[in-house]
Amino acid sequence: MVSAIILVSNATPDTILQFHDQLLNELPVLKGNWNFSFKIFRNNPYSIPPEKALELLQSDESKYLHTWSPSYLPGTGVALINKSSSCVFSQVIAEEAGNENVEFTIPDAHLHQGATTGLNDPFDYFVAQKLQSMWTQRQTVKGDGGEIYELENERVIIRTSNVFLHGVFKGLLIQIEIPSITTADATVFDPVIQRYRIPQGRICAEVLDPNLLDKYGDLCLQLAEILNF
Amino acid sequence: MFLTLTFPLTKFINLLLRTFMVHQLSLVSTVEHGYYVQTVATLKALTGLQSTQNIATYNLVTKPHDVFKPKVEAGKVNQIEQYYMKCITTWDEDTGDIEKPILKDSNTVEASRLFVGDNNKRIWTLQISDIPVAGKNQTCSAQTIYDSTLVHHHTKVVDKVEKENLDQFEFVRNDSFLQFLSDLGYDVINQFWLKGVRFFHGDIVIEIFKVFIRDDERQSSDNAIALKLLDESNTFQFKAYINVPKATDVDAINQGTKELLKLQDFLKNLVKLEIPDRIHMDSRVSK
Repeated sequence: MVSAIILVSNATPDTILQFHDQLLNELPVLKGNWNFSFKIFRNNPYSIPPEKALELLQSDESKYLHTWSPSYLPGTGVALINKSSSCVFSQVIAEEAGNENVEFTIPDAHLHQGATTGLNDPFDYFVAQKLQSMWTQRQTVKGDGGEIYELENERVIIRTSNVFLHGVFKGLLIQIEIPSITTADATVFDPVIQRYRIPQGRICAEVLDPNLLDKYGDLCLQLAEILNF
Repeated sequence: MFLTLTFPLTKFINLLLRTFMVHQLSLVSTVEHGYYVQTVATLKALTGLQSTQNIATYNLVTKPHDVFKPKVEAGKVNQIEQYYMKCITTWDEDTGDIEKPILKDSNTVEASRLFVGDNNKRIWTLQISDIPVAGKNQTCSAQTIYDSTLVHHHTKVVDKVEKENLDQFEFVRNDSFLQFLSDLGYDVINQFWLKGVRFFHGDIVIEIFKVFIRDDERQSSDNAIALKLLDESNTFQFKAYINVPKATDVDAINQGTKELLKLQDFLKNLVKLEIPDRIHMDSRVSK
Protein backbone atom coordinates (compact mmCIF):
# COMPACT_ATOMS: atom_id res chain seq x y z
CA MET A 1 0.00 0.00 0.00
CA VAL A 2 1.16 3.52 -0.70
CA SER A 3 -0.18 6.55 1.11
CA ALA A 4 0.07 10.32 1.11
CA ILE A 5 -0.97 12.95 3.60
CA ILE A 6 -2.20 16.39 2.60
CA LEU A 7 -2.89 19.19 5.02
CA VAL A 8 -5.04 22.02 3.73
CA SER A 9 -4.14 24.61 6.30
CA ASN A 10 -6.26 27.47 4.96
CA ALA A 11 -9.42 25.35 4.81
CA THR A 12 -12.66 27.14 5.59
CA PRO A 13 -16.02 25.52 6.38
CA ASP A 14 -16.96 26.22 2.75
CA THR A 15 -13.99 24.44 1.20
CA ILE A 16 -14.45 21.47 3.54
CA LEU A 17 -18.15 21.12 2.71
CA GLN A 18 -17.45 21.53 -0.97
CA PHE A 19 -14.81 18.82 -0.89
CA HIS A 20 -17.11 16.40 0.96
CA ASP A 21 -19.86 17.10 -1.60
CA GLN A 22 -17.50 16.39 -4.46
CA LEU A 23 -16.46 13.08 -2.93
CA LEU A 24 -20.09 12.13 -2.32
CA ASN A 25 -20.84 12.80 -6.01
CA GLU A 26 -18.45 9.99 -6.88
CA LEU A 27 -20.74 7.57 -5.05
CA PRO A 28 -18.19 6.27 -2.59
CA VAL A 29 -18.76 3.53 -0.05
CA LEU A 30 -18.94 5.31 3.30
CA LYS A 31 -16.90 3.51 5.90
CA GLY A 32 -17.92 5.54 8.91
CA ASN A 33 -16.19 8.07 11.08
CA TRP A 34 -12.78 8.15 12.59
CA ASN A 35 -10.57 10.32 14.72
CA PHE A 36 -7.01 10.18 15.90
CA SER A 37 -4.57 11.52 18.38
CA PHE A 38 -1.00 12.30 17.41
CA LYS A 39 1.56 13.09 20.07
CA ILE A 40 4.96 14.62 19.62
CA PHE A 41 7.67 13.88 22.17
CA ARG A 42 11.14 15.43 22.19
CA ASN A 43 14.24 14.06 23.83
CA ASN A 44 14.66 15.29 27.38
CA PRO A 45 17.62 17.67 27.14
CA TYR A 46 18.89 16.57 30.55
CA SER A 47 19.51 13.06 29.22
CA ILE A 48 23.03 13.31 27.85
CA PRO A 49 25.00 10.67 25.93
CA PRO A 50 27.59 9.20 28.34
CA GLU A 51 30.58 10.33 26.25
CA LYS A 52 29.47 13.96 26.54
CA ALA A 53 28.06 13.83 30.06
CA LEU A 54 31.04 15.52 31.68
CA GLU A 55 31.25 18.52 29.42
CA LEU A 56 27.62 19.29 28.66
CA LEU A 57 24.80 20.40 30.92
CA GLN A 58 22.17 19.73 28.31
CA SER A 59 22.16 17.41 25.35
CA ASP A 60 23.02 19.09 22.05
CA GLU A 61 21.01 16.56 20.06
CA SER A 62 17.43 16.89 19.13
CA LYS A 63 15.37 13.79 18.54
CA TYR A 64 11.68 13.17 18.20
CA LEU A 65 9.28 10.40 19.04
CA HIS A 66 5.83 10.48 17.46
CA THR A 67 2.88 8.35 18.45
CA TRP A 68 -0.29 8.01 16.42
CA SER A 69 -3.48 6.24 17.49
CA PRO A 70 -6.21 6.22 14.84
CA SER A 71 -9.62 5.02 15.98
CA TYR A 72 -9.92 2.66 13.02
CA LEU A 73 -7.20 0.52 14.61
CA PRO A 74 -8.82 -0.20 17.98
CA GLY A 75 -6.43 -0.65 20.88
CA THR A 76 -3.47 0.00 18.63
CA GLY A 77 -0.87 2.73 18.52
CA VAL A 78 1.90 3.39 16.04
CA ALA A 79 5.17 4.95 17.20
CA LEU A 80 7.97 6.44 15.17
CA ILE A 81 11.32 7.27 16.71
CA ASN A 82 13.66 9.77 15.15
CA LYS A 83 11.86 9.31 11.83
CA SER A 84 13.67 6.01 11.34
CA SER A 85 12.29 3.25 13.58
CA SER A 86 8.61 2.52 13.60
CA CYS A 87 6.61 0.04 15.61
CA VAL A 88 3.04 -0.94 16.27
CA PHE A 89 1.80 -1.56 19.81
CA SER A 90 -1.39 -3.44 20.58
CA GLN A 91 -3.48 -3.79 23.71
CA VAL A 92 -5.74 -6.50 22.35
CA ILE A 93 -5.13 -10.18 23.03
CA ALA A 94 -6.25 -12.28 20.06
CA GLU A 95 -8.78 -14.30 22.09
CA GLU A 96 -10.24 -11.06 23.52
CA ALA A 97 -10.86 -9.74 20.04
CA GLY A 98 -12.93 -12.82 19.18
CA ASN A 99 -14.64 -12.36 15.85
CA GLU A 100 -14.04 -8.62 15.68
CA ASN A 101 -11.82 -7.80 12.77
CA VAL A 102 -8.82 -6.30 14.51
CA GLU A 103 -5.68 -5.90 12.44
CA PHE A 104 -3.11 -6.04 15.25
CA THR A 105 -3.49 -8.38 18.17
CA ILE A 106 -1.18 -10.01 20.67
CA PRO A 107 -1.07 -13.77 20.01
CA ASP A 108 -2.66 -15.89 22.74
CA ALA A 109 0.61 -17.76 23.35
CA HIS A 110 2.30 -14.53 24.39
CA LEU A 111 -0.18 -14.22 27.27
CA HIS A 112 -0.36 -17.91 28.12
CA GLN A 113 3.40 -18.35 28.30
CA GLY A 114 3.63 -15.47 30.73
CA ALA A 115 5.27 -12.80 28.60
CA THR A 116 2.60 -10.17 29.31
CA THR A 117 0.16 -9.52 32.14
CA GLY A 118 -2.54 -9.13 29.49
CA LEU A 119 -3.27 -5.64 30.80
CA ASN A 120 -1.30 -3.49 28.39
CA ASP A 121 -1.04 0.27 28.45
CA PRO A 122 -1.05 2.32 25.26
CA PHE A 123 2.56 3.06 24.27
CA ASP A 124 2.13 6.86 24.41
CA TYR A 125 0.92 6.52 28.00
CA PHE A 126 3.86 4.21 28.81
CA VAL A 127 6.31 6.77 27.42
CA ALA A 128 4.63 9.70 29.17
CA GLN A 129 4.60 7.88 32.51
CA LYS A 130 7.85 5.98 32.66
CA LEU A 131 10.22 7.33 30.05
CA GLN A 132 10.05 10.98 31.07
CA SER A 133 13.78 11.05 31.64
CA MET A 134 14.23 10.41 27.92
CA TRP A 135 11.15 11.78 26.20
CA THR A 136 9.03 14.77 27.15
CA GLN A 137 5.70 15.39 25.54
CA ARG A 138 5.60 18.60 23.54
CA GLN A 139 2.38 18.63 21.56
CA THR A 140 -0.86 16.77 21.15
CA VAL A 141 -2.56 16.99 17.79
CA LYS A 142 -6.12 15.73 17.57
CA GLY A 143 -8.10 14.77 14.52
CA ASP A 144 -11.88 15.01 14.86
CA GLY A 145 -14.95 14.59 12.71
CA GLY A 146 -13.21 12.32 10.27
CA GLU A 147 -14.90 10.57 7.35
CA ILE A 148 -13.75 7.51 5.44
CA TYR A 149 -14.54 7.20 1.73
CA GLU A 150 -13.85 4.12 -0.30
CA LEU A 151 -13.70 4.93 -4.01
CA GLU A 152 -13.30 3.13 -7.33
CA ASN A 153 -14.13 -0.28 -5.92
CA GLU A 154 -11.66 -0.08 -3.05
CA ARG A 155 -8.86 1.14 -5.29
CA VAL A 156 -8.60 4.45 -3.46
CA ILE A 157 -9.39 5.18 0.17
CA ILE A 158 -9.65 8.79 1.28
CA ARG A 159 -9.87 9.71 4.93
CA THR A 160 -10.50 13.27 5.94
CA SER A 161 -10.22 14.82 9.34
CA ASN A 162 -10.23 18.23 10.97
CA VAL A 163 -6.95 18.81 12.76
CA PHE A 164 -6.68 20.65 16.06
CA LEU A 165 -3.57 21.59 17.98
CA HIS A 166 -4.45 22.13 21.63
CA GLY A 167 -7.99 22.97 20.56
CA VAL A 168 -7.05 25.40 17.78
CA PHE A 169 -8.15 24.45 14.26
CA LYS A 170 -5.13 23.84 12.05
CA GLY A 171 -6.65 22.64 8.82
CA LEU A 172 -8.19 19.77 6.93
CA LEU A 173 -6.16 16.59 6.79
CA ILE A 174 -6.62 14.32 3.79
CA GLN A 175 -5.13 10.87 3.88
CA ILE A 176 -5.01 9.07 0.55
CA GLU A 177 -4.35 5.35 0.44
CA ILE A 178 -3.93 3.18 -2.65
CA PRO A 179 -3.79 -0.44 -1.43
CA SER A 180 -3.02 -2.03 -4.81
CA ILE A 181 0.23 -0.18 -5.49
CA THR A 182 3.26 -1.68 -3.78
CA THR A 183 6.16 0.46 -4.93
CA ALA A 184 6.93 3.87 -3.52
CA ASP A 185 6.21 6.51 -6.16
CA ALA A 186 4.91 9.93 -5.25
CA THR A 187 3.55 10.57 -8.76
CA VAL A 188 0.72 8.01 -8.41
CA PHE A 189 -1.17 10.54 -6.29
CA ASP A 190 -1.32 13.24 -8.97
CA PRO A 191 -4.20 11.67 -10.94
CA VAL A 192 -6.13 11.07 -7.69
CA ILE A 193 -5.63 14.67 -6.60
CA GLN A 194 -6.82 15.94 -9.98
CA ARG A 195 -9.74 13.59 -10.30
CA TYR A 196 -11.20 14.35 -6.88
CA ARG A 197 -10.13 18.01 -6.97
CA ILE A 198 -8.41 17.72 -3.63
CA PRO A 199 -7.74 21.24 -2.32
CA GLN A 200 -4.17 22.44 -2.43
CA GLY A 201 -2.01 21.97 0.61
CA ARG A 202 1.25 20.59 1.84
CA ILE A 203 1.65 17.01 0.68
CA CYS A 204 3.96 14.32 1.93
CA ALA A 205 4.35 10.84 0.45
CA GLU A 206 7.74 9.97 1.94
CA VAL A 207 8.46 6.44 3.09
CA LEU A 208 10.92 5.04 5.62
CA ASP A 209 12.47 2.51 3.27
CA PRO A 210 11.53 2.57 -0.44
CA ASN A 211 12.53 -1.09 -0.79
CA LEU A 212 10.31 -2.30 1.97
CA LEU A 213 7.10 -0.38 2.49
CA ASP A 214 5.48 -0.42 5.90
CA LYS A 215 1.84 0.70 5.88
CA TYR A 216 1.60 2.30 9.30
CA GLY A 217 5.24 3.27 9.77
CA ASP A 218 5.13 5.21 6.51
CA LEU A 219 1.83 6.88 7.42
CA CYS A 220 3.26 7.90 10.76
CA LEU A 221 6.33 9.38 9.03
CA GLN A 222 4.09 11.37 6.66
CA LEU A 223 2.04 12.68 9.57
CA ALA A 224 5.23 13.59 11.43
CA GLU A 225 6.36 15.65 8.44
CA ILE A 226 3.01 17.36 7.95
CA LEU A 227 1.74 17.91 11.49
CA ASN A 228 4.83 19.81 12.43
CA PHE A 229 3.47 23.14 13.63
CA MET B 1 -26.84 -1.66 7.83
CA PHE B 2 -24.38 1.03 8.61
CA LEU B 3 -25.39 1.18 12.25
CA THR B 4 -25.24 -2.53 12.84
CA LEU B 5 -21.81 -2.58 11.31
CA THR B 6 -20.27 0.17 13.37
CA PHE B 7 -21.98 -0.12 16.72
CA PRO B 8 -20.27 -3.24 18.10
CA LEU B 9 -16.95 -1.89 16.94
CA THR B 10 -17.36 1.44 18.72
CA LYS B 11 -18.44 -0.41 21.84
CA PHE B 12 -15.33 -2.50 21.47
CA ILE B 13 -13.16 0.58 21.01
CA ASN B 14 -14.58 2.14 24.17
CA LEU B 15 -13.73 -1.00 26.01
CA LEU B 16 -10.16 -0.60 24.91
CA LEU B 17 -9.73 3.11 25.44
CA ARG B 18 -8.47 2.62 28.93
CA THR B 19 -5.15 2.60 30.58
CA PHE B 20 -4.21 -0.05 33.03
CA MET B 21 -1.25 0.56 35.32
CA VAL B 22 -1.51 -2.94 36.69
CA HIS B 23 -1.26 -3.10 40.45
CA GLN B 24 0.36 -6.38 41.38
CA LEU B 25 -0.04 -7.89 44.84
CA SER B 26 2.39 -10.70 45.47
CA LEU B 27 3.98 -13.11 47.90
CA VAL B 28 7.01 -15.25 47.13
CA SER B 29 8.80 -18.33 48.35
CA THR B 30 11.05 -21.13 47.15
CA VAL B 31 10.38 -24.84 46.71
CA GLU B 32 13.20 -27.34 47.00
CA HIS B 33 13.45 -29.69 44.09
CA GLY B 34 12.47 -32.73 46.14
CA TYR B 35 9.18 -31.10 47.13
CA TYR B 36 8.17 -30.07 43.64
CA VAL B 37 5.94 -33.06 42.86
CA GLN B 38 4.16 -32.77 46.19
CA THR B 39 3.68 -29.02 45.74
CA VAL B 40 2.23 -29.44 42.27
CA ALA B 41 -0.10 -32.20 43.50
CA THR B 42 -1.31 -30.00 46.36
CA LEU B 43 -1.88 -27.05 44.05
CA LYS B 44 -3.76 -29.24 41.60
CA ALA B 45 -6.03 -30.35 44.41
CA LEU B 46 -6.45 -26.77 45.65
CA THR B 47 -7.20 -25.25 42.27
CA GLY B 48 -9.02 -28.21 40.79
CA LEU B 49 -6.93 -27.91 37.64
CA GLN B 50 -5.95 -31.15 36.01
CA SER B 51 -3.29 -29.71 33.78
CA THR B 52 -1.04 -26.78 34.51
CA GLN B 53 -0.23 -23.99 32.12
CA ASN B 54 3.38 -23.97 31.00
CA ILE B 55 5.18 -20.66 31.10
CA ALA B 56 8.40 -19.98 29.26
CA THR B 57 9.85 -16.54 28.60
CA TYR B 58 13.01 -14.92 27.37
CA ASN B 59 13.80 -11.65 29.11
CA LEU B 60 16.17 -8.84 28.25
CA VAL B 61 17.16 -6.43 30.99
CA THR B 62 17.76 -2.99 29.57
CA LYS B 63 19.10 0.23 30.98
CA PRO B 64 18.85 3.81 29.67
CA HIS B 65 21.83 4.65 27.49
CA ASP B 66 22.10 8.31 28.39
CA VAL B 67 23.16 9.90 31.65
CA PHE B 68 20.33 11.84 33.24
CA LYS B 69 21.45 15.10 34.84
CA PRO B 70 18.37 17.11 35.79
CA LYS B 71 18.83 20.76 36.70
CA VAL B 72 18.83 21.13 40.45
CA GLU B 73 16.75 24.07 41.50
CA ALA B 74 16.20 25.25 45.04
CA GLY B 75 12.75 24.35 46.30
CA LYS B 76 11.99 22.11 43.36
CA VAL B 77 11.87 18.38 43.85
CA ASN B 78 12.82 16.37 40.84
CA GLN B 79 10.28 13.64 40.33
CA ILE B 80 11.65 12.24 37.13
CA GLU B 81 13.61 9.02 37.41
CA GLN B 82 15.35 6.70 35.02
CA TYR B 83 14.12 3.12 35.07
CA TYR B 84 15.46 -0.23 34.06
CA MET B 85 13.15 -1.89 31.58
CA LYS B 86 12.44 -5.54 30.94
CA CYS B 87 11.67 -6.78 27.42
CA ILE B 88 9.85 -10.07 27.45
CA THR B 89 9.07 -12.52 24.69
CA THR B 90 8.14 -16.18 24.61
CA TRP B 91 10.78 -18.91 24.79
CA ASP B 92 9.52 -21.45 22.34
CA GLU B 93 12.02 -24.31 22.46
CA ASP B 94 11.15 -27.51 24.16
CA THR B 95 13.81 -28.00 26.81
CA GLY B 96 12.34 -31.00 28.53
CA ASP B 97 10.41 -31.33 31.71
CA ILE B 98 11.33 -29.00 34.52
CA GLU B 99 10.40 -31.76 36.94
CA LYS B 100 13.76 -33.38 36.22
CA PRO B 101 16.71 -31.80 37.96
CA ILE B 102 19.33 -30.17 35.76
CA LEU B 103 22.77 -31.35 36.76
CA LYS B 104 25.90 -29.49 35.91
CA ASP B 105 27.55 -32.38 34.11
CA SER B 106 24.64 -33.47 31.98
CA ASN B 107 23.10 -30.09 31.25
CA THR B 108 22.02 -29.73 27.63
CA VAL B 109 19.65 -26.80 27.89
CA GLU B 110 20.04 -24.33 25.06
CA ALA B 111 18.15 -21.41 23.63
CA SER B 112 18.38 -20.44 19.98
CA ARG B 113 19.85 -17.09 19.10
CA LEU B 114 16.92 -14.85 18.34
CA PHE B 115 18.81 -12.01 16.82
CA VAL B 116 20.52 -13.94 14.07
CA GLY B 117 18.96 -13.40 10.69
CA ASP B 118 15.56 -12.01 10.05
CA ASN B 119 13.25 -12.51 12.97
CA ASN B 120 10.87 -9.63 12.65
CA LYS B 121 7.78 -11.51 13.66
CA ARG B 122 8.63 -11.68 17.34
CA ILE B 123 6.29 -10.00 19.81
CA TRP B 124 7.91 -8.11 22.68
CA THR B 125 6.38 -6.75 25.86
CA LEU B 126 8.13 -3.75 27.36
CA GLN B 127 7.68 -3.64 31.09
CA ILE B 128 8.68 -1.13 33.75
CA SER B 129 7.72 -1.76 37.37
CA ASP B 130 7.64 0.77 40.17
CA ILE B 131 9.35 0.00 43.44
CA PRO B 132 6.82 -1.78 45.71
CA VAL B 133 4.75 0.43 48.00
CA ALA B 134 6.51 1.25 51.27
CA GLY B 135 4.99 1.17 54.72
CA LYS B 136 4.78 -0.69 57.96
CA ASN B 137 2.39 -3.58 58.63
CA GLN B 138 2.42 -4.70 55.02
CA THR B 139 0.87 -8.07 54.45
CA CYS B 140 1.94 -8.48 50.85
CA SER B 141 4.09 -6.75 48.28
CA ALA B 142 2.22 -4.23 46.14
CA GLN B 143 3.69 -2.60 43.07
CA THR B 144 2.53 -0.89 39.93
CA ILE B 145 3.54 -2.42 36.61
CA TYR B 146 3.43 -0.72 33.23
CA ASP B 147 3.23 -3.05 30.25
CA SER B 148 3.16 -2.20 26.58
CA THR B 149 3.34 -4.80 23.84
CA LEU B 150 5.02 -4.34 20.49
CA VAL B 151 3.45 -6.45 17.76
CA HIS B 152 5.20 -5.18 14.66
CA HIS B 153 8.30 -3.18 13.95
CA HIS B 154 10.04 -1.74 10.95
CA THR B 155 13.27 0.17 10.63
CA LYS B 156 14.81 2.26 7.96
CA VAL B 157 17.83 0.31 6.76
CA VAL B 158 20.94 1.50 8.54
CA ASP B 159 24.51 0.68 7.74
CA LYS B 160 25.89 -2.12 9.79
CA VAL B 161 27.98 -0.75 12.58
CA GLU B 162 30.35 -3.03 14.39
CA LYS B 163 30.16 -2.42 18.08
CA GLU B 164 32.40 -4.27 20.44
CA ASN B 165 30.16 -4.33 23.45
CA LEU B 166 27.30 -5.80 21.46
CA ASP B 167 29.44 -8.79 20.70
CA GLN B 168 28.98 -9.97 24.19
CA PHE B 169 25.34 -10.77 23.53
CA GLU B 170 25.99 -11.82 19.96
CA PHE B 171 23.31 -9.65 18.51
CA VAL B 172 23.31 -8.89 14.87
CA ARG B 173 23.00 -5.24 14.16
CA ASN B 174 20.30 -5.38 11.52
CA ASP B 175 17.64 -6.82 13.76
CA SER B 176 15.26 -3.98 14.02
CA PHE B 177 13.99 -4.72 17.53
CA LEU B 178 17.45 -3.98 18.90
CA GLN B 179 17.63 -0.96 16.64
CA PHE B 180 14.27 0.13 18.01
CA LEU B 181 15.48 -0.31 21.59
CA SER B 182 18.59 1.71 20.94
CA ASP B 183 16.56 4.44 19.19
CA LEU B 184 14.23 4.50 22.17
CA GLY B 185 17.28 5.05 24.37
CA TYR B 186 17.88 1.67 25.99
CA ASP B 187 20.87 -0.69 26.02
CA VAL B 188 20.63 -4.40 26.72
CA ILE B 189 22.70 -5.18 29.81
CA ASN B 190 21.63 -8.69 30.73
CA GLN B 191 19.34 -11.52 29.76
CA PHE B 192 17.65 -14.45 31.41
CA TRP B 193 15.22 -17.23 30.60
CA LEU B 194 12.37 -18.41 32.75
CA LYS B 195 10.53 -21.70 32.60
CA GLY B 196 7.84 -23.15 34.81
CA VAL B 197 4.20 -23.88 35.36
CA ARG B 198 1.29 -21.90 36.66
CA PHE B 199 -2.02 -22.43 38.38
CA PHE B 200 -5.08 -20.25 38.75
CA HIS B 201 -6.98 -20.04 41.99
CA GLY B 202 -9.75 -17.49 41.77
CA ASP B 203 -7.95 -14.29 40.88
CA ILE B 204 -4.64 -15.60 42.18
CA VAL B 205 -1.99 -16.78 39.77
CA ILE B 206 0.54 -19.20 41.24
CA GLU B 207 3.80 -19.65 39.36
CA ILE B 208 6.56 -22.16 40.04
CA PHE B 209 9.61 -21.65 37.88
CA LYS B 210 13.34 -21.87 37.37
CA VAL B 211 15.54 -19.10 36.03
CA PHE B 212 18.25 -19.79 33.47
CA ILE B 213 21.21 -17.65 32.56
CA ARG B 214 23.86 -17.89 29.91
CA ASP B 215 26.57 -20.50 30.47
CA ASP B 216 29.85 -19.31 29.02
CA GLU B 217 31.83 -22.35 30.06
CA ARG B 218 29.88 -24.79 27.98
CA GLN B 219 30.14 -25.17 24.21
CA SER B 220 26.79 -24.74 22.49
CA SER B 221 25.62 -25.97 19.12
CA ASP B 222 25.39 -23.58 16.18
CA ASN B 223 23.05 -20.62 16.54
CA ALA B 224 22.28 -21.47 20.13
CA ILE B 225 23.25 -20.22 23.55
CA ALA B 226 24.18 -22.69 26.27
CA LEU B 227 22.20 -22.09 29.45
CA LYS B 228 22.64 -22.98 33.08
CA LEU B 229 20.45 -22.57 36.11
CA LEU B 230 20.79 -19.35 38.05
CA ASP B 231 20.32 -21.35 41.21
CA GLU B 232 22.27 -24.56 40.69
CA SER B 233 20.64 -26.27 43.65
CA ASN B 234 17.61 -26.78 41.37
CA THR B 235 15.38 -24.93 43.80
CA PHE B 236 12.18 -23.55 42.28
CA GLN B 237 10.95 -20.01 42.69
CA PHE B 238 7.38 -19.76 43.90
CA LYS B 239 5.28 -16.68 43.30
CA ALA B 240 1.61 -16.08 44.05
CA TYR B 241 0.13 -12.86 42.71
CA ILE B 242 -2.99 -10.98 41.77
CA ASN B 243 -3.02 -8.36 39.05
CA VAL B 244 -5.52 -5.63 39.88
CA PRO B 245 -6.28 -3.86 36.59
CA LYS B 246 -6.40 -0.41 38.13
CA ALA B 247 -4.01 0.95 40.73
CA THR B 248 -6.75 3.25 42.06
CA ASP B 249 -9.26 0.49 42.74
CA VAL B 250 -8.87 0.31 46.53
CA ASP B 251 -11.69 -2.19 47.05
CA ALA B 252 -10.19 -4.66 44.61
CA ILE B 253 -6.77 -4.23 46.20
CA ASN B 254 -8.12 -4.90 49.71
CA GLN B 255 -10.06 -7.89 48.49
CA GLY B 256 -7.01 -9.23 46.64
CA THR B 257 -4.83 -8.84 49.73
CA LYS B 258 -7.34 -10.86 51.75
CA GLU B 259 -7.36 -13.63 49.19
CA LEU B 260 -3.57 -13.80 49.10
CA LEU B 261 -3.42 -14.04 52.91
CA LYS B 262 -5.95 -16.86 52.83
CA LEU B 263 -3.71 -18.71 50.40
CA GLN B 264 -0.67 -17.99 52.55
CA ASP B 265 -2.44 -19.56 55.50
CA PHE B 266 -3.67 -22.52 53.50
CA LEU B 267 -0.23 -23.37 52.15
CA LYS B 268 1.70 -22.62 55.33
CA ASN B 269 2.80 -26.23 55.87
CA LEU B 270 4.00 -26.56 52.31
CA VAL B 271 5.63 -23.24 51.46
CA LYS B 272 6.30 -20.21 53.58
CA LEU B 273 4.98 -17.32 51.50
CA GLU B 274 6.76 -14.08 52.29
CA ILE B 275 6.93 -10.48 51.18
CA PRO B 276 9.89 -9.97 48.84
CA ASP B 277 12.44 -7.36 49.86
CA ARG B 278 11.26 -4.17 48.18
CA ILE B 279 14.74 -2.69 47.99
CA HIS B 280 15.78 -5.52 45.68
CA MET B 281 12.82 -4.70 43.47
CA ASP B 282 13.77 -1.09 42.95
CA SER B 283 13.85 -0.51 39.20
CA ARG B 284 15.22 3.03 39.38
CA VAL B 285 18.66 3.62 37.99
CA SER B 286 20.80 4.78 40.90
CA LYS B 287 22.62 8.05 40.46
